[in-house]
Amino acid sequence: MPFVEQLALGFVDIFHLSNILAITIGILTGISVGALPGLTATMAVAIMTPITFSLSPDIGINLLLGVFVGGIYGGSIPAILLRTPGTPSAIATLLDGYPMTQKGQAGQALYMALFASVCGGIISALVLMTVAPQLAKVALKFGPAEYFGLTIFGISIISSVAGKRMVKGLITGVFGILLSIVGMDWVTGVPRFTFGSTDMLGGFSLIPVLIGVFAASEVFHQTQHSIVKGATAFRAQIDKTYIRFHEMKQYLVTIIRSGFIGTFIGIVPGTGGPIAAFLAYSEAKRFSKHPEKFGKGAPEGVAAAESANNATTGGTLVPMLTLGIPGDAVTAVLVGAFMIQGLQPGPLLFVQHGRTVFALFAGLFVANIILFIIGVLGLRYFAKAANVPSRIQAPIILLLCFVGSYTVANSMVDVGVMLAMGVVGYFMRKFEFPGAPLVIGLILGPIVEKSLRQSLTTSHGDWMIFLQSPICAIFLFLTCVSILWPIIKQKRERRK
Amino acid sequence: MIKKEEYYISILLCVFGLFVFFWSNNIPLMVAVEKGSVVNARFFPKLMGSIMVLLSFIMAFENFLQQRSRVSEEFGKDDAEKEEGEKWGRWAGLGLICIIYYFLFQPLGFLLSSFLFILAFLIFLGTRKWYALLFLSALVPFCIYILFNTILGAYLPEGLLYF
Repeated sequence: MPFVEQLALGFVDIFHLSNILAITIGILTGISVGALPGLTATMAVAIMTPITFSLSPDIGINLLLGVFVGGIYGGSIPAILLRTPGTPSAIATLLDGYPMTQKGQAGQALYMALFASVCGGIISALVLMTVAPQLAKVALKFGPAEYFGLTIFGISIISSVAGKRMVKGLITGVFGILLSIVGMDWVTGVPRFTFGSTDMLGGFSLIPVLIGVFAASEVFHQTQHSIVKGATAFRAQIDKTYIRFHEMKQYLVTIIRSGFIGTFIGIVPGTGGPIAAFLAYSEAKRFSKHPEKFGKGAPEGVAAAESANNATTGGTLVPMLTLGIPGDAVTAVLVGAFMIQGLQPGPLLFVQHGRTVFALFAGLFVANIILFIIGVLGLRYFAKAANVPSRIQAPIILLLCFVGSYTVANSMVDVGVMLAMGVVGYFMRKFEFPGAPLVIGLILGPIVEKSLRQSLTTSHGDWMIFLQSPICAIFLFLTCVSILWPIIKQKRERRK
Repeated sequence: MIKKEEYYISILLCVFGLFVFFWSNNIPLMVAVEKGSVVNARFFPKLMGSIMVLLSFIMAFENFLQQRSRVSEEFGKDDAEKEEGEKWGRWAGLGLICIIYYFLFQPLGFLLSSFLFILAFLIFLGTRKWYALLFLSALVPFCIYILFNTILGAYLPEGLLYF
């Protein structure tokens, strides 16, 4: 059957009340869970999966798609309003989202996040529909050397988020990589820097660290300053919860570029929302006419991060559907959900259940439309959360930090890590060390080391393997450009 | 502006980097697996330790190269010392509340310990209206408990309220 006809049938299948209702319930659930720090989109999908056992395949899968899309977007709400990313994918969003709230633009920041998320999701849905099998073949060519190149390029974006002094960004990036080294070695299984503690064999979990660095440290900062002095740092303006289209037009190129970056990153297994968001943010800053505004409340920063992280939703489905390889943790859970419904992800899925697959493509597209409608209706109410007095906000946020850290593994060790990182984050902020590079180092550090050692094992110690791979060589070249360009640009500006 | 604290931070980071570098020698080597490869389990920590030491020197050097500027005279010495004293007092209070909550979280259970935590925190921040204190201290943990335990299935410790 021709592609267009199959796609049309997919849309016909989607526009049933039961499917629309399933997607809507999924999105509401996803937003609610994604907005809670410590709970991820993965958890939201995992929680809803058992509910799909008794549902028909199309309704069940559409429900989970809605949860996935809503969960990734939901993380941006507390990131913008409270400097507390709800999901790891929203870390890059807070770099400009929270400063926008501080400037009284909370509603506009939320609207930008929503609009960019929907655009990014639609771009990835369109890419998924049209080029899925071809793109999956490219992703399959990613071996250890290619992963090394990609992740080194990812680490180089620290230079973009480092702020005024790059050396401080690099220091926190290295600190993040050192945190990722704690625990059992990936390759040999020997303990590293555990100091004999069995609790540390698993290393530092990402979520307690990011909750501590961004959320707990913010509470500590507020209790030292604005709350006790009796002054509220800001009152979030929610008069405007939209941005007019003629104002939005200037950000469309950024949104589209970030959408494609997010889609491509999502296609590569093992990467995901945080990497896509930071890469897109870095590129948006590089291409921007006003890069100095990034980090101080630039709507473009929010647009880039959110477009990219929601674009990974479609991207991660590409290897999952075409090859049976999950693109990230969420799609790993989705593989399980598919199999429960009698659908085996992989090349034969398109042959044996083609209509269901195309209904899924249509479902992803429709889910983003419904996300926009729900988001616009709920924006004003989301934004009111920022107007709760700081004296009441602080203990609630800290309580959520405790709960969010605890629920990762039902362990007080994670809570302790969160508190310690909260103190570290407070002093980092006081002495102007940026927090984002720490998280980049923590996420990418293990991948860099693992891919480096695997590559050298494969090549019997020959370092030329990194240049012999065209994909790796391209990424290494982009890394050099990424590091040298800000330095060259700075020197040119000094000469002027 | 030359900041004294940045020199202390540079020294701290240098010591940290050196510690990582030399402590890495305690990491066991699986010779049979790694076959004498230079890039073994010790390589990355040593590399990062070295980079940390290098960056700490660069940071100190950058600080040295920047021009001196006048120290802010917004506060007189006495006011600055009083401000510093208040800050340490707030840190001590906040730290004590968090540490006590940490140790009571599992034995007392989420609901009881969180009730006490929010009550203590609100009083510490200056809230005095008893009805607001009791209402918020009871309502917030209860809502979070229902949301996590009942709806999301992410179980929180019950402690003394195991029934």
